[in-house]
Amino acid sequence: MRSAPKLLHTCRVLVVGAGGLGCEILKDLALSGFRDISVIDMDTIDVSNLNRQFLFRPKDVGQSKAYTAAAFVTERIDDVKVTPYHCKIQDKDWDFYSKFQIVICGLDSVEARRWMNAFLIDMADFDDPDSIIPLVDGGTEGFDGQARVIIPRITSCYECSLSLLKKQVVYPICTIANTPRLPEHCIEWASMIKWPEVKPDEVLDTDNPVHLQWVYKQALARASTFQIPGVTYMLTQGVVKNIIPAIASTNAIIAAACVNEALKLTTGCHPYLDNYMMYTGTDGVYTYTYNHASRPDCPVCGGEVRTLTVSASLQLAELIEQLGEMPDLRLQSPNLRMATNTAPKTGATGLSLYLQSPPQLEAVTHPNLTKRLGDLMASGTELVVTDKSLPVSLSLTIKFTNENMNVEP
Amino acid sequence: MDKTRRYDRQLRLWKAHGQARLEAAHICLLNGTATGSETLKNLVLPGIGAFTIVDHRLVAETDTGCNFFVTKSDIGQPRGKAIVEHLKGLNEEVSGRWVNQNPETILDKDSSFSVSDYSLIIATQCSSEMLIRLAANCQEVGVPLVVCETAGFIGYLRIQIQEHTIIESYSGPNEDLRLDRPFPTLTEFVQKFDLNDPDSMAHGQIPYIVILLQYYQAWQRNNPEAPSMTLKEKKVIREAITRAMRHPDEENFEEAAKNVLWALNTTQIPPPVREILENPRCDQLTENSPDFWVLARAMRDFVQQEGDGMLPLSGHVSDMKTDTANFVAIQSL
Amino acid sequence: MNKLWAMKRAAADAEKKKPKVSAAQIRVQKDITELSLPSTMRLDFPNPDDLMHFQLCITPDEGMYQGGCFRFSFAIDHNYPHEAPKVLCTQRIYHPNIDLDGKICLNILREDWKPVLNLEAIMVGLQFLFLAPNPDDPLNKEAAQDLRANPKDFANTVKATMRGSRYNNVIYDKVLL
Repeated sequence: MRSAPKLLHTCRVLVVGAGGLGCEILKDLALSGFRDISVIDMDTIDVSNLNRQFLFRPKDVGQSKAYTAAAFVTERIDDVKVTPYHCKIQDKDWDFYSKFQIVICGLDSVEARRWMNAFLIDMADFDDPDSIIPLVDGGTEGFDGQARVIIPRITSCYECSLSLLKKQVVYPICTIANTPRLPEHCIEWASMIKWPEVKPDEVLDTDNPVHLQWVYKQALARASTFQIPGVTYMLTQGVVKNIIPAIASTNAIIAAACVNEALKLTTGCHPYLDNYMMYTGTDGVYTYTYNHASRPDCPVCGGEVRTLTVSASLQLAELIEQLGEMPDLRLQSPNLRMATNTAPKTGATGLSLYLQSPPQLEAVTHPNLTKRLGDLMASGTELVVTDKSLPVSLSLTIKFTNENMNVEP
Repeated sequence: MDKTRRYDRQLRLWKAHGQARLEAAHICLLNGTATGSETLKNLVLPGIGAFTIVDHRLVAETDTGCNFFVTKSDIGQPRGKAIVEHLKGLNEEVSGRWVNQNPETILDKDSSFSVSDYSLIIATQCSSEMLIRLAANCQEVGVPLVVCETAGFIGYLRIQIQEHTIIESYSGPNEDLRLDRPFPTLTEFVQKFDLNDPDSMAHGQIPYIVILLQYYQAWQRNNPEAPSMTLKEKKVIREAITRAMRHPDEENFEEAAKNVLWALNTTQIPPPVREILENPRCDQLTENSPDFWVLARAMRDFVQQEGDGMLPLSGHVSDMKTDTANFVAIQSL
Repeated sequence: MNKLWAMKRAAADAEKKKPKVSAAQIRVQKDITELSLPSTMRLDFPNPDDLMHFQLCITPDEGMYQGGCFRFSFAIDHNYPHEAPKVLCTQRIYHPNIDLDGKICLNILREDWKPVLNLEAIMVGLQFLFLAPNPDDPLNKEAAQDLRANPKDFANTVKATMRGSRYNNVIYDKVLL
């Protein structure tokens, strides 16, 4: 462990989320010897955060979580610099994320986790070890939680385990509209059916207490006509905002597990978590760790990645023929779209290069078949290819042979 | 500071009663270690009533490297005092105090420390000799003791508690349908439904409880002597119910078929519950007995008298496919 | 050599900076290009570059709704397939399982949605609503009651409203081809 302090001091770690898990993670990182910590969060502080997000005080309500958390830890612990970023994770790009050696997520949304996971997996390139950034992801709910380690392109990723996620409770719309039985049905009716009927031009803001009061009163009225007990303001908030119960202790446990892994990954002092730990503290204490396998058909980490160098004067139809002849892919009727539009001439074409089906899309993209690749895209364009024979997709980068480029020795 | 807003996320776990018990608690930490301070943080944030730290040490530089609740400017100050101040900042509703005493001496003759002043004691970095004496003391007085230690990547947590009774459980109650011994209003309710109702909508709204009970009663009429249903007979009923579905989307019949195996079991008192009812603690009630045993005794008396051998009905019914009027009616039976 | 290396490195870096396709978009591309729809269903893409928003037109060739062309809007977001697409009927029609605002009572659109399902499953489910409207699980109560009380009258009302007429103080959209 002699080089450990240096590794820790120079490691650039990014904490995603400065909420329940984020605050705990920041504290643990700072006390574990990390010195260059960044934190990103788009939220501001709310009163209901104060029961667990301990870097915030009542006077901070309304302020940026990232800034407040960073200031607190920087002040409390010597020699540590925490740099805050108050924005969405999607607002940052490769320039930002590629600077970090490890990313720890304490997010509260599936969508955000999928985005972060996909971004890091996409960045990872075996030819450049620095581009493989480990992702440690933690999540909690009440007395339960989980922590996992994702090494892009080596372990399974977040998308591989989407099916593990607890299904959000959704009620049939006809039950909500006509045969309510539970107080939740009445609340959903007020927010989903009555609100758009009465206020078609106003979007329901679940953080607005005036809006919530309206929903609550409507739900209560409906419940009483059907003689359904149980509609309370607390339940209304819970249903409309999809509130997940949260306490400091579970967050502390999962955050500590995540930071332990960050320590091991950075210093190499012990084997890291391989790769998923679930913890439940509801009935006594129980924890279980296992290796969650990668899915071969995972759209994020399972797809094939290839590069093809061809002449820019090749026609699209000829490219498709070439793809069909690649023996290991066994493509039958590939569909090609560009990841981003790199067409040299504006209006020449769009993202969809050629789609075999449905007929409407085939008709619109058919003219592209006889176009030259050089007219359709720039060299280095990534194509997304799907085909019945592929479990998910193929990421195909097209490079043009440079007959005209002067190569200076 | 509006407590219901601040504590909203935790009230959804343990409700108002749980919160009240938390706020009535006074927790003692022996030794202001990092582990101990971290534990107290997780108790102060949700709002325990009070905490006490027993610690005679002064803050050293090594403390600032591992304990979030001491700072460099606290070095040389009493450690317990520093931690109390920083922890109190987390929640202005919580009272905290520091006792300047070596935890190793708390059980000495001249010590004013009394285990029974506290709802729970957390011991960190105490010697094993002291722990043995402390544990005996806690056991005698009935105060739970939590011992925890950490070393690098290894941690240890042990709880000593004589008896922990839970009256209000927040995990969902089990379904208690008693279809084999239906109470009179249930029987009356069930008779109102016609399984051969030609109206397809009404047919699709028949609560699954009703379907099961009607099938069960038909079986009883054909088997008056049988004490209970065999697995084979239940499977026969399940098949009959599936065949009776008029179209594949009849969820109520699907629910009935799915629940046949457990819903048509003989109603009996579950063995763990029976153990509690038969526990001699039910007989030895005094003024100081915990509520739990008083309730258990009351329950035993009920079972023996009004209950006719059965526990009181919980009354909980999970959501099922039926119309509003039926569901409300079932809940109020 | 340095210039070449610098150019290669710049190209590699530039590649990495391009915004990437999301898992949802890849999955949608796969779902859409692998649809095998009957001739009674037609898709419309107002923007062929945006596969996440499109319209489906169902023209049932049998049953009470035969002859009508029923349009549905599909809006898929980046949480697909974790979340189901949002589907609405864009015309006002007389149907027990579709309300006057276009909301559809179809289990796989809400409570029975699973990531393993796909767009084809939804489209087939929608078509089935026209072949076998379900009066026992009503969203439009009046329509459901009418169907249960007198299927012949219900069929006539359907025909009339498909022509774009007024019925019980509601004006229905013309959907006949």
